[in-house]
Amino acid sequence: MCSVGDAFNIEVQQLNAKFYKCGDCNNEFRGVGRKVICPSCQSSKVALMFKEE
Amino acid sequence: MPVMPVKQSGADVQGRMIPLNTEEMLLVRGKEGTLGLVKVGENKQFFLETDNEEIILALEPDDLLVASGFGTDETIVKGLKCILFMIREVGSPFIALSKKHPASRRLKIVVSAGNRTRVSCSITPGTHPEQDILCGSSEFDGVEISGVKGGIEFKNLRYDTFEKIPFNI
Repeated sequence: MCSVGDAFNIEVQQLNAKFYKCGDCNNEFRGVGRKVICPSCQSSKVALMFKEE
Repeated sequence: MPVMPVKQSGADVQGRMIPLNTEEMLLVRGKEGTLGLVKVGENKQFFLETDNEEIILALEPDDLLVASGFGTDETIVKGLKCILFMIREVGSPFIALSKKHPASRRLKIVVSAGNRTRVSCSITPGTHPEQDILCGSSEFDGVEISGVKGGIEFKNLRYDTFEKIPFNI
């Protein structure tokens, strides 16, 4: 992941982020990485909803 | 700014692990640019914000935050440290501006996060996150940086110098 100076053109769609849902607070969010936790309640009880196309 | 007793040339560190703990910052000084590197450490979750969504970046303690500054003076070094401190310690998010946003050209320092970063001077101003590419000055073109257990490994470094400094403000 990267941010950049001059003509900032981060390709967020290509980050391979996936959709997750928290099993404790039902928060839905996108995340990337091996140990994603809920940004709302910090629970590690999160489940993959479906893979990003 | 106090400097720890590590100062080596790039040629000395090819493929060798440079130890780095979470209280240290590694500076790679070139002739036109400077890189600042810190371990992700225990704050392993970061946020990438765009115009319309938030993406959680879940990293590992031995992954790296790499800041690339276009300059070599002490102002740039302080800026590298401040940006990395804001991200890792304060928890500031990465903010992705939209394409051709007028603020983009004002940025003097860019940041990458992950277990591997390749520095390139030849990409169109902008980066491609899926390829772990970070803009850098020409002398760092092709340099590969990997976060490994307890340290950092470099590939394709030429004649840059390293310094470790305390990661505090």
